[in-house]
Amino acid sequence: MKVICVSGGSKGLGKGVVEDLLRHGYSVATYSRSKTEFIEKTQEAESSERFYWESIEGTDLEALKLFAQKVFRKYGQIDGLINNVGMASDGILTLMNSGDIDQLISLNLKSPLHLTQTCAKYMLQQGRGIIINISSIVGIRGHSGVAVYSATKSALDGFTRSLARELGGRNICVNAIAPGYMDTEMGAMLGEAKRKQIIRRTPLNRLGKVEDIVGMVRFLLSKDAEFITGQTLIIDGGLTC
Amino acid sequence: MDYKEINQTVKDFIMQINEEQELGISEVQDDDSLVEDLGFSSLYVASLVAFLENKLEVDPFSTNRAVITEMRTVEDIAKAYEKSLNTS
Repeated sequence: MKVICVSGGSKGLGKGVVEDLLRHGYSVATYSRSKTEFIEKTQEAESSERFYWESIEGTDLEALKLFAQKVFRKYGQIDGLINNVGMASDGILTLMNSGDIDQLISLNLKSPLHLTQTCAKYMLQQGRGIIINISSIVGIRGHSGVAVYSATKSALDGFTRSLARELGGRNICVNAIAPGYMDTEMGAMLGEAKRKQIIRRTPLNRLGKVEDIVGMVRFLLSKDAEFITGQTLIIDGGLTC
Repeated sequence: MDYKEINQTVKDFIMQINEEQELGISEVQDDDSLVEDLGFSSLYVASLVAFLENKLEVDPFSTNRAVITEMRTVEDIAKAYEKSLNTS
């Protein structure tokens, strides 16, 4: 059974990815700051062989390293890593306080870099692995009010391309998925007017759903995607086309 | 673990990578250069370090005790791990 680590799997897109992977026969290890109802129910429903969860503050880099170590020792393998954890912050750069800027960079960028470093060491030993970074269309196109968030997501895309070149020789694929604006808690930060405007500009006439993304995650984890690496796949209903 | 065992562990992992990557190495000597004699790329060196970290539970290169770019031979690697194990 394949073992996939998912960062931030307690709610939103991460929750959707965890649910979908469990439904399709994967074992899933995930962490989040707090235990949500979803985590409690999943712990009750699944055996510890299928589902592992820890409470971790996403910016605690040492805890992330230990999490990956525990997962590898428990399962003896890490087949995939989904770097999903992240937070959005709405505000003009010049009005943001420096603590919020640092927090965004720590959670959205430093955290996946360090978790990937540890997981990639195990993948190097295995001679195989799949890393998927959840990016965003705001890492590709400019959007007012999300400059720091955009910076972290663009950085993740650059990380994806270079890491794909670094690790390809050991059969490790690294890709990013860039969702558009979504109907999740993070997407709810949009005001009603902005939400309508985005839908109007989207050829497929709606915001993204979690289901739109989880299928791509599962595809990238599958054998059908074994020759795809270093790419950022945009799933936005055509907003950026 | 004494130096002899560490040295053998390093050689075993080099041979494992050799087999997986089909590098054509027939034998590993202490004074073999990882890059020039064994044909190791930086990715294979990284893989070797990952194997050793998992097996020996130390990473001499993450704490600046040793510098990976200064590791030329098989013996250099084995000695870096011996030193790290003795001081950890």
